[in-house]
Amino acid sequence: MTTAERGFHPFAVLHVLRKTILLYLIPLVQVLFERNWEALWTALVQDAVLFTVLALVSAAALHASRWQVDAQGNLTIRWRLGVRLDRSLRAGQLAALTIERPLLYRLANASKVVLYPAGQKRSLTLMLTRKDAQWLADRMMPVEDAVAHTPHGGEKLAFAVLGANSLSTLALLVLALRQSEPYAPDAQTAAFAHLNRLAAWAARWLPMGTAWLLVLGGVLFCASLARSAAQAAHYTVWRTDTQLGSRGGLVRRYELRIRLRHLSFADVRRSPATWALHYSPVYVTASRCQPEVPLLVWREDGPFLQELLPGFALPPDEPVNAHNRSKLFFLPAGIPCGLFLLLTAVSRYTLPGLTVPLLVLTGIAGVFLLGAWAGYRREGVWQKDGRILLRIQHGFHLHNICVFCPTPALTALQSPWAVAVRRTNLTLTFPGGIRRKVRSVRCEDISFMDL
Amino acid sequence: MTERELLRTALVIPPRGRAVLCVWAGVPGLVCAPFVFWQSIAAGCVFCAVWTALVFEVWVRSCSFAAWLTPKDLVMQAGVAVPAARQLPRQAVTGLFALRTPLLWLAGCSVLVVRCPGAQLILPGVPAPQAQALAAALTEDAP
Repeated sequence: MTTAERGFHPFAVLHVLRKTILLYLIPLVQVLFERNWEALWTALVQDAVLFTVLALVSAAALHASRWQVDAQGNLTIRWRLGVRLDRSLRAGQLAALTIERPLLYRLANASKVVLYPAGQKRSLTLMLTRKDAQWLADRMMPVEDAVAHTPHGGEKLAFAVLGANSLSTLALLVLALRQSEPYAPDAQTAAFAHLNRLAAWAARWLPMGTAWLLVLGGVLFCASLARSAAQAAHYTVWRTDTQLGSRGGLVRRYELRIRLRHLSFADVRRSPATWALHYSPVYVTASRCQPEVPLLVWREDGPFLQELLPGFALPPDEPVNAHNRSKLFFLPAGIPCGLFLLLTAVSRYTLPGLTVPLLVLTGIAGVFLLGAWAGYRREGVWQKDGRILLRIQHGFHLHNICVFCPTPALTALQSPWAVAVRRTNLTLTFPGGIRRKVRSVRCEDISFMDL
Repeated sequence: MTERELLRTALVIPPRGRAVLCVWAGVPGLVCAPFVFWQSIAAGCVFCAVWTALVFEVWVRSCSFAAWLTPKDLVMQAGVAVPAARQLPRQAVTGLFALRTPLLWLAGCSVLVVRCPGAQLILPGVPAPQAQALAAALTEDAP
């Protein structure tokens, strides 16, 4: 039995129209040469006609395009505009799906549904109404007999702190300032003026450059914390016999469903913050789906993670044999650390005012060097009960990965020096093209590979 | 050639297959060389030296190339100074595609591309009968 065909939300058309913005600039090129009101008026009329034509075509495509789901949960999408393009997705081949509802979408009763087919690099994005999105998710990946868990108290706090990502916040801030420039030229100035006030306050005790760096870092971390706290609100994680799922968010609602059969790996990230809080964030990956939000935060003395992911194991918590190991681990942090140290020594005699800010930068690079040292001592690969376990260092984080995918592709690459000491870099490629590389492991540690 | 024979032998690139690969590597250089010589004789000489080194690298790599089938995996190894090994689980193979150009046909070889979700393995210039047998073995259900 096949259900009736349903339409898309008008936001699907807005997505297409957004990509045509560059087209409207073409008539404006003429204005650059003519430089008069008449040429500008003609260009604006041409833009208006272009926009009307594109809007009419998009509206016709939206009206004619449909999607439907059959009794087995298989999805068929039909795009019709002159040519007919049908796309089918079998429910069994769906590795994961996410439903996102940012504030603007919630106001318009829209939802963005992203479907991740197993083993494919490209996902499928649909703009549907809220009701349709929920109905589609329930048909393709129904939640039956779910065991749910909602973080409370300390666990919720740990979720907010460990989910904070300063880098993404920094990117968001830069993007926001760039976006706001054409509409409100003084937004950037106003933002920096506030920061300057804070920096002036901090500069009573610290040199100006250092104070500015600290204040900027603090503001970014606070913004990241606030964003993470908003994501942790109303957060619930659940498990059924066949799938894992989570939902939450205060402003930007988010729902994730992952089919356990297509789970590639689970990643427990450890850092100084997790050591202090005694909780570690757990991220899961299936096909191309790599959620930014951790699936849960796990108190390491509890059996919760093993209940949620049967068969999950952590790599052994002991240093690996680092004899003859490549010193490349220290290169990414060692070069800036050495450079800043040299500049600090030079500035001591030439520009004493810069010594303290440079010392701070040297300290930051030094902390990264400590992270590299942790990677040098602990990064490795193990096999336990037929599962491959990895530990990989990235910056401050140690990624403890348990591979669930039974068939990752393996690549071993050796330099001439690595051949001499029987070591190799090992890369695991998972369905969807996601890769994880372990550096300088002993050849005898990868007995599962036929070298 | 049967699967049992494939499990006992490794696939290597025969001299004719290596010659085809070297010709493929050399053709773009031959096309570009006149334009570089047009700029200056010295630039042309440097370009020719670099390209010859590149073709030599291809020849060395094809000499060291070996691929073999195990009951569970397809393994490929190549390279002398920078050896690389790749292993694809047979169970994960989703598709194969074989290429035969006139030159490859003359050399009795073919290029086999083995695909699995997220990765692919290229076996260049392997003997055509062995490539066919390998394709047949990989398209069957893995044990």
